[in-house]
Amino acid sequence: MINVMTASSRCSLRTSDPRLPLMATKAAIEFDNALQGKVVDFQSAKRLGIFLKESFASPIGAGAEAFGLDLTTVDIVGQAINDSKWRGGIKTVGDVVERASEIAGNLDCVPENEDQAGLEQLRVFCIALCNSLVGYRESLQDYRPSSPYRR
Amino acid sequence: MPNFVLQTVRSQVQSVLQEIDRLEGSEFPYQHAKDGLDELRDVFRDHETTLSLVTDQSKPDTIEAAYKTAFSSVKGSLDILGFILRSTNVRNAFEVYGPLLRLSRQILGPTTKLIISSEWNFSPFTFIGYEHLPDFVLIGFPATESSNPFLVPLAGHELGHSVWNAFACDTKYRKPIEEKIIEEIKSRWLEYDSVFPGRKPTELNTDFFVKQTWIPAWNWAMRQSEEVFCDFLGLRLFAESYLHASAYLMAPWREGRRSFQYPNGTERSQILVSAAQAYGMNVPPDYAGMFSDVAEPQDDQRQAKFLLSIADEARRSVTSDLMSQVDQIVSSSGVMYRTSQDVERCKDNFKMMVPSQNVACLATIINAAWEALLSPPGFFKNPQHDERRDANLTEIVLKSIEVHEIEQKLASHP
Repeated sequence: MINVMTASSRCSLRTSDPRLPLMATKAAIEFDNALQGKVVDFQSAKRLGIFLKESFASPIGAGAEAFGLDLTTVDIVGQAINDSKWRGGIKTVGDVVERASEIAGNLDCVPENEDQAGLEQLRVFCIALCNSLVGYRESLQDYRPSSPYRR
Repeated sequence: MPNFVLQTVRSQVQSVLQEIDRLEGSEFPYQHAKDGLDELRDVFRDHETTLSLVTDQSKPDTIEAAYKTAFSSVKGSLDILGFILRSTNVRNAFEVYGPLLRLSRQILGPTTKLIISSEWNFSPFTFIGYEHLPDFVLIGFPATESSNPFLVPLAGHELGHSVWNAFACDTKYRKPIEEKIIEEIKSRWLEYDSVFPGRKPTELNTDFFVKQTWIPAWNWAMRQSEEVFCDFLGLRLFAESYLHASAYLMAPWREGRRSFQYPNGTERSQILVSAAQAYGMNVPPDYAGMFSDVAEPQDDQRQAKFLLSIADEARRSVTSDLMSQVDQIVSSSGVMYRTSQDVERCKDNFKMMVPSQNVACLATIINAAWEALLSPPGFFKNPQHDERRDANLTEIVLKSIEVHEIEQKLASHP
């Protein structure tokens, strides 16, 4: 028996939320501006970091055995990590959890003296995540069945 | 040279904002549709600002990400804007708005907003992927049926999608469904190996790329669970009338391909029958027999066929729990329930073509309506009323809903 839920346990942003790719885009623009030497507050990067942190906060089991996560999020973020070649890509689900937590930490608190390579790596990840999220949203549109069950 | 695609998408975002302004000039019968437009305007203003932040100095892939994201929203905006526009159309049964809003708020909380509209597609549906309208319940009926009060119970199903999100059911069910899928694949390893060769059982839950082979099954099982949950919610709120309304809309579907997001027709109806019995409701004779299956994936879709069978098993493993969850959610919300005495009294009023008064809830009126509709000829006291039976019933049902709403308003603001 799974415990009964309450309406107060509202979930945070979901991967199908259109605000999420927008947030990733804004974070990418922030890193782009920082690379141009502009003063940036990294507000969107911080919010994206919080989303990642919350999404990968409580896997059941550890390391490669981690499960109980939203697998769509794991898939989307895993693809973005792979596409952005973040620290050599990933092989296991545990790698996704570990790298996502690492990226979340970097986004949440961009070091003041972050070097150009670090800023560029974060920018590339944000763009990869944006692409992955937009691709997923597009697939949802295609997914709508034109049947009595369309909703 | 300015980026042409960037300029194009900026212009498209402007057009959406102008369209929102135009739509806002419509005569909205209730505030929430207008509130929905305001929220959408905020989203597109955010896109407008974001697009203004990219310059010629921005890297090309940053520029592309900005316009790609904005364009995706532009493309998706027409569905929801059209939905909001059609909410103003007089074909909608505005009488049901107040009772359905009250019902939604009892379950989801007092800040819940509701938009009822119609769609030029023969299916009840709710929008997915519009979480930037997080406190909104969006209910759409097929345009030709949008003034039909007998289908109101289907709104219970659509409300279910918002309840599923509000109660974070995704989070609750993803683990048991994931575990069941892995267990099923392991127990049918030879089949799995024949469609996804070269993997090892030990990699099923650990290897990112092996996991991607069965994530579709997990997704389908999650969506099926959500739909079954929504059926249970509609049933629990509207009792037998939900069974009749579902059959009205779905039983005629005999052809086409199965949607992977739902149990097939026969099983779906059997699940409804089991739930109705568990909830102590009366099931019409041979109810499940009215439904038919549509085509399962063909043999040339071996991967989809295998994964769908796994998804079905995973959803079955949580079905009885979903049934209990819905019962507990509705019970704890304090929503009123139809009683057979109230339904009989309501029906007696209908026989006289008199709007029913002091009815406890919307479900009572709709259940009385269906019982009247399905009763033998000679339902009305006055035989002349039987000549236009369906039209007269529709009229008296809508009048009774109006009276119910006025009574509720007077009771809350004496």
